[in-house]
Amino acid sequence: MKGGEAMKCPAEMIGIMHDVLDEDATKEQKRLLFEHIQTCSDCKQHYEELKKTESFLLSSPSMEAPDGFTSKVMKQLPQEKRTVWIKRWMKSHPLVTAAILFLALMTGSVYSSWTSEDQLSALSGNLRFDQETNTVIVPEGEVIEGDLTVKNRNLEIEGEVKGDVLVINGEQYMASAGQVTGEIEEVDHILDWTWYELKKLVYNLGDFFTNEESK
Amino acid sequence: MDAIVKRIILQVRKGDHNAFGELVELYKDRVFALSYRMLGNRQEAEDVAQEAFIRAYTNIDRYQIDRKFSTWLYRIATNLSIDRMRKKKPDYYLDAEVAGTDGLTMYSQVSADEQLPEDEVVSLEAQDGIHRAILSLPAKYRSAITLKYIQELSLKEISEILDLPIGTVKTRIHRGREALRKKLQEQ
Repeated sequence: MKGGEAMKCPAEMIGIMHDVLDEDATKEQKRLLFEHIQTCSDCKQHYEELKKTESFLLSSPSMEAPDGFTSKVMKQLPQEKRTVWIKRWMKSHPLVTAAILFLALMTGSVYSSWTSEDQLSALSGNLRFDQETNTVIVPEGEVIEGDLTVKNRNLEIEGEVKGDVLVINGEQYMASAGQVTGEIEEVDHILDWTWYELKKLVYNLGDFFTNEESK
Repeated sequence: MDAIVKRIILQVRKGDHNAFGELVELYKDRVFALSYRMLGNRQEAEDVAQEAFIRAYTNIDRYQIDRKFSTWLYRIATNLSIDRMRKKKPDYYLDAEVAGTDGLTMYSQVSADEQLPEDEVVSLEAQDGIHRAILSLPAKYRSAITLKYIQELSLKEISEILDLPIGTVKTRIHRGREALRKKLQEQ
C-alpha cells in the first residue's frame, strides 16, 4: 500500500502525513514529519504529491443539479393528503375563497327563501283570497297603504296600492280601475329572485351605512 | 438554516408537498454532486439523486428531528449510490477495452455519456484526471473521499453518514488519498 519510495523511512511516516493533512496530528508528530522531510527527499516528494492530490480534490468545480430536477422529484412523490391541498389553496387564494363562501351562503339562503311557504305581506288594508284561482285580490275601492308582496300566488288589483308591488312566482293582473303608485315587479325565476335578494342586500347595506353616517 | 429546515420538515410531515419542494431546492446541488462523483455519469447521478429525495420524503417520519438533516439525506444518497455502483460493472473494468471497439476503453464511454454545457467543459478537462481517479477507487474509499472533499464534511459527520467508527473513516480516507496520489502520478 505505502509507496515503495518510502520503504527505508520510519513506517509510520506516511500515516503521520495523512494525519497532518486531516489536521489530526499532534505537535510532536508534526515536528517529526517536518524534520524528516528536510533530510529525506523521497518522503518530501511523497508529502508534496499528497498535498497536490488534496488541492486537486478541493478545487473540484461545484456542481449544479440538472434543470427541472425539483419538478421531476415532485412528480414522483406519492399523492399528498387532500386536506393539505385544500388548506394551502385557500390560503393562497383568499379572495376566491371568500367569493365561493359568499356564493354558497347566498345560494343557501336564497334557495330556502324561494321555497319557503307562501306568504303575503301588506302593511294595512283588507285583501281577499280566491282559493280556486290561487289569487289574492285587492278589492275595488280598497286602498293598501304601503308595499305589497305576494309570493307563490297570483295577484289581481282592483283597488289601489299606495306603494310598490312585488309578485314572486305568480302573475299579477291589474284591473282597469286598479291603481299602483309605486313600481310593479314580477319575479318568476330563481335567478331573478337571487338578483332581487342581492339588490335588497346592497340597498340594506347602503341604508346601514347612511344610517351610520347620519348618527 | 437549521431552524428553517426543521420548520420545513414539520410541514412535510403533515403531508405538504410544496414544503418538500423547498427542501429539494436547498439540497439538490449537493446531493447531485455527491451521486455524480460516486457514479461518474450525469444521467445515473440524476436518477439516484431523485430517488434519494423520494426516499427521504417517504421515510420522513423516521428522520430524528434533533439530528442534522443533511447527514440523514447524504446517508440515503450515499447508500443508493453504492448500491448502484455494485449493480454496475466493477470500476476496475474501466481500463478494459470495450468489446467490438478499436481501442476504446470504458473511460471513453464514461466521458461520452456526459452531456455538459460548454462552460463546464473547460473546467472539466482540468478536473478530468481527478474525476476519473476518484471513479477508479473502490466504493468504500470513493464514498469517504467524496464526502470529505466534495461535500467538505467533518470526519465525525462522515462517520455518521457511513455508519462507521471515526477510526475506520480515517483509514479509508488515508488509503483513498494514497491511491489517488498514485493514479495522478501515473497520468
